Amino acid sequence: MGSLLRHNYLGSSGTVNCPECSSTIKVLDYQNSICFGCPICHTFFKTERTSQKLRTFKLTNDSPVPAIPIGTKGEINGYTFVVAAFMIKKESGNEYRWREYLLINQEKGYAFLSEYDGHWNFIVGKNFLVDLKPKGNMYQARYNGLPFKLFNKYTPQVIYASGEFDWNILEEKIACREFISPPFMLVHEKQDSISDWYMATYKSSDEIAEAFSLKNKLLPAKIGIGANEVSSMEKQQNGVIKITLIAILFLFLYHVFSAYSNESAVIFDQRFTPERDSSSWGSTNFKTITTSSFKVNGPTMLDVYLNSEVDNNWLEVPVTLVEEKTGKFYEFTKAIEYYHGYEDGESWSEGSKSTDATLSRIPTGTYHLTIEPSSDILFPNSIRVTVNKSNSIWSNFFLASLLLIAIPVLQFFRINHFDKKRWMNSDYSPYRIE
Amino acid sequence: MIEDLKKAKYYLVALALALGGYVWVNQQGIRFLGDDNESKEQRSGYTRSYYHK
Repeated sequence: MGSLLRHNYLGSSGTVNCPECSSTIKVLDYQNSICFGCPICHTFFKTERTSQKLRTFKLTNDSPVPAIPIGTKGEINGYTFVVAAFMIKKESGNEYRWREYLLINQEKGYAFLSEYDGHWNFIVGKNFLVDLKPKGNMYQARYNGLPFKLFNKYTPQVIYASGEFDWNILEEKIACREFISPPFMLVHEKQDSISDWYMATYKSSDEIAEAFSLKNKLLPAKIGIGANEVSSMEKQQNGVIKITLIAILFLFLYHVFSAYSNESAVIFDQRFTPERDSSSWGSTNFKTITTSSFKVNGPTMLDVYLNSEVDNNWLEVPVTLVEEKTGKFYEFTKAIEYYHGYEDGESWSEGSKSTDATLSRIPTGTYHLTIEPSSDILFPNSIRVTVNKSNSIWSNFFLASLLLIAIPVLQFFRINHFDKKRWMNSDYSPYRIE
Repeated sequence: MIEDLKKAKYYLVALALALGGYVWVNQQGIRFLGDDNESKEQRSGYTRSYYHK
């Protein structure tokens, strides 16, 4: 990325002529720039004393036209920049290519923008971050309390350059290591015995378009996942967790408020003794019991509790809740059975002397119950029937809370999946690759 | 806190609507897990007539 010089004379203007095609190239940093790439004939030349051609770039697959034109002014992180140069680089030994923009800030000097598959990084050195001295080793680094993991190492090659430079980019032989902690990336560059650190911050194409007042559609479309890209889900995750917790708290308070703010829950409570139906003597049926009327202030959910002192026996209780005006009915059948005994030195019991049923969405009205018990005993115990109006449906609360919690949990797995996909582009993935 | 909530503003809106629906469902006495009502005929619109006491 080259050394960073003080640009005291930025703002002075001048031009140089390409030694190959004689095109006039406007120079932004006339005092410092020594190498130039001609955007017309793609010749790279040096202008120390006289212009000297160094190389002519020949592009086959890449466009030499930068997405952000040279000379464009923009503002990133509060700093004003002008685009001074454009480069296309590739990794030595393979075909991965990316584009770099050399930016100049009048006060701080050079910074860079890199773009790979529509993923942008704003890169600065010690001229912007004085304390940029990460600690670590070949595989991890730590800076500002953040852990960075090695993502990639390579040797960049310049395959195209236009604009101006204060160093000869063709002489660079850099060994580069990239460590990520999204949205940041630490870049370690080593050339001979000199090494330096740079800090890259991921930028979306929206941010770049806004920074340079460009139309987003003119910038390269995003493909895949950027090395230090933060998923939109991860950006939202803190908010999602907080909103979810607030929502669960709201639901809890709503149910507590509903439970204690409405009238008494018991709307019917009576005990009945079933009488054998003489018309069907010998069968298991008893006379139908019809209860007194009771009012329901709905719509609401009713809990019907049935209790009988059955002892080593059973009682089947079909119950029908009937709305007296319309004849609308709701029915259910429950069995009360309780058995116990002593066997092999141990007491045992199974079943219960009580059971309950739930009827939901019961409208306002006057109701009664019809009960048609049956059992194989001649004189069964009495049945106590209690109807409770449920002011608060707690099962709804628990189910809704479970669903709500599932959202951030699902988000967590999606973020994890995103991270796994990111590391699939790296040879140093912390995930086990099958 | 506010910044975090802003980032998830669509979720916030969706959840607010869902909570509104939830409150309505509870006010109607609807139980998500269903109930013990077995009168299938009534659910299809048919009501059995009962003799009143």
